[in-house]
Amino acid sequence: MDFWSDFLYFFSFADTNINNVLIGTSVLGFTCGIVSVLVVLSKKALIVDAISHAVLPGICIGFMFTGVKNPIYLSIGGMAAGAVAVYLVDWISRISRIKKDASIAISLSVLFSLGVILLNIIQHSGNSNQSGLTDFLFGKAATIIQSDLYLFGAVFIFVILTLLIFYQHLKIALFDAGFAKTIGLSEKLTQGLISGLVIISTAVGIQTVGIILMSALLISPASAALFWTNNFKKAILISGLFATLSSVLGVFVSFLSADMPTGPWIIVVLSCFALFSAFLSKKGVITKKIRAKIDASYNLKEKEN
Amino acid sequence: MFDFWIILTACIIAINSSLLGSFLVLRKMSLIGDALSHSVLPGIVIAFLISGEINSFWMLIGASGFGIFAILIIDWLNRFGGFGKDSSIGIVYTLLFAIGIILITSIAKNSDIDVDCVLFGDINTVPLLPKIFTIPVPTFNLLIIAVIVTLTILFGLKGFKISTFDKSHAQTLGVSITFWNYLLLGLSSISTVFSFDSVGAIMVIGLIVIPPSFANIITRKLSRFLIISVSFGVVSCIIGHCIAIYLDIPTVPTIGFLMGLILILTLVFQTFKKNFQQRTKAKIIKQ
Repeated sequence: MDFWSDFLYFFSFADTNINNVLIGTSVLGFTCGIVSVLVVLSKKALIVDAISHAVLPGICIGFMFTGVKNPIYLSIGGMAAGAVAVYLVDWISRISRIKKDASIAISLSVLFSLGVILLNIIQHSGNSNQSGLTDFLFGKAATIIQSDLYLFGAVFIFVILTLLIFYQHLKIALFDAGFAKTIGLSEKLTQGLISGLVIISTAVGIQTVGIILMSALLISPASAALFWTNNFKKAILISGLFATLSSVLGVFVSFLSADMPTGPWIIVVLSCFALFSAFLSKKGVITKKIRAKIDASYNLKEKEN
Repeated sequence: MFDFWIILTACIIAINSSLLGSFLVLRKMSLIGDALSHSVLPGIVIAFLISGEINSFWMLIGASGFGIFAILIIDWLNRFGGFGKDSSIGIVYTLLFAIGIILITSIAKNSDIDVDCVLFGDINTVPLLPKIFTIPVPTFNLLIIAVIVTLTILFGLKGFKISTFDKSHAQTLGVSITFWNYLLLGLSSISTVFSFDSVGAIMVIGLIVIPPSFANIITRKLSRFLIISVSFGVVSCIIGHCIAIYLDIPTVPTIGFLMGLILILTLVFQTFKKNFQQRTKAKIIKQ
């Protein structure tokens, strides 16, 4: 088959397996894209890294308790571990001289090490269900099945609802912290909401891109979107679209060649969007330079006249 | 002899990482360590594809160029590209790491380098590798790097110290901050690349950040800081390997978890002590 017949087959949505993968990654992409705006605006970009690495021991403990690879149990374990990571980062930097960036790196490596140890214990335990647990490291988009979609859908709806209910609160807190303080919006609620949404979307999002690359899915879409607009609502939509689009393209590339992994390709496409926006959007570096040059030549002409 | 080589390799990595990590942590650049350890992957894979072996000295030196490259891009995006500092780190290292993984799974798939060893390292196979002067190749390479790192830090201590703690004073004295900055980053990049295939990406961060952080909560004097940091790393490696053998679990994550556990327990202990002292003080004042 040549490229175009592959292309037509892929986008005719005839294959149920491909459709499942496509719908799953798109929904997760959109969810993470939305949350990503909150992450970037609240400057929490690198805590995401600690949370996503911490999900590994959570998944392992979830598996050890239940003995089955049910995505709901694994996700709950992941969320609990993510919460532990947030608390640990906060606690270490609060009670000691250790700076926030160092405490992020400490929590990340400690919890990830614990995860690898647990993974090793599970692999030697002889439970035949365990195969495929390591797929969480780099994502397992290709193995998304219909029952997974319900979980993704539920998370998607939950994130949208939370965002709608707290829309005004988050908008004020993120764009004007001083005003938020004056009118008495709870700082704790803001932080809790953002961390909560990040933890939830990370715990399920790792199914598409994996633990290591998860932070990109929660940083890049919004970084790209914020170059195109200053409007909160529009930023959320654009960011969601960027993430969805790159998920679709990532799945398509890995469909074209069996050797190509899905998760890393999603991230490569997404990063290209971010860099492209940084250079060529209205606020981009190159656009600004061109505009400056045009302005300069225009001024020169006026002077000559 | 078998365990000796494993422990020795781990200890050399710990010495390199904790010496360089001390300055990274003091300069609030811990997350640059995180970025470095992920971004060197494509460099390592390309070096491997060209030379056909994972431990060729000059190829690895070339691969560490990717670390510097990543840091330059991060810096550039942050300054001119309009990204926040966190976001530019997050975007660059994930992109480079993703490219590395794609290279491994598509081009280098039938070779010694695989995705698992990228993350966790392969320290247990070190004694089985070919030897130079009866020392396994990775250990030998790491020894050379360790000598370079230690000598640079010993002779450049003054420069590192001034450019870390008092930038304006350094500028008045005519010390180039950029020079010391890139010397530190270059050495960290080289040390990361050489540690990569023994301990993996995530543990490199642990070894760069945890020992200096432990020293940070114990002392404020730089010489003591460096000594505590290095000895903490070395002792954890030895104990960690023993525990790993005893419990039959992998060595590298055990070392990482052990270091973190000691750090967290020390913090808990310090908090208790502080609370206790405050309470006794309050009691004395009451009486």
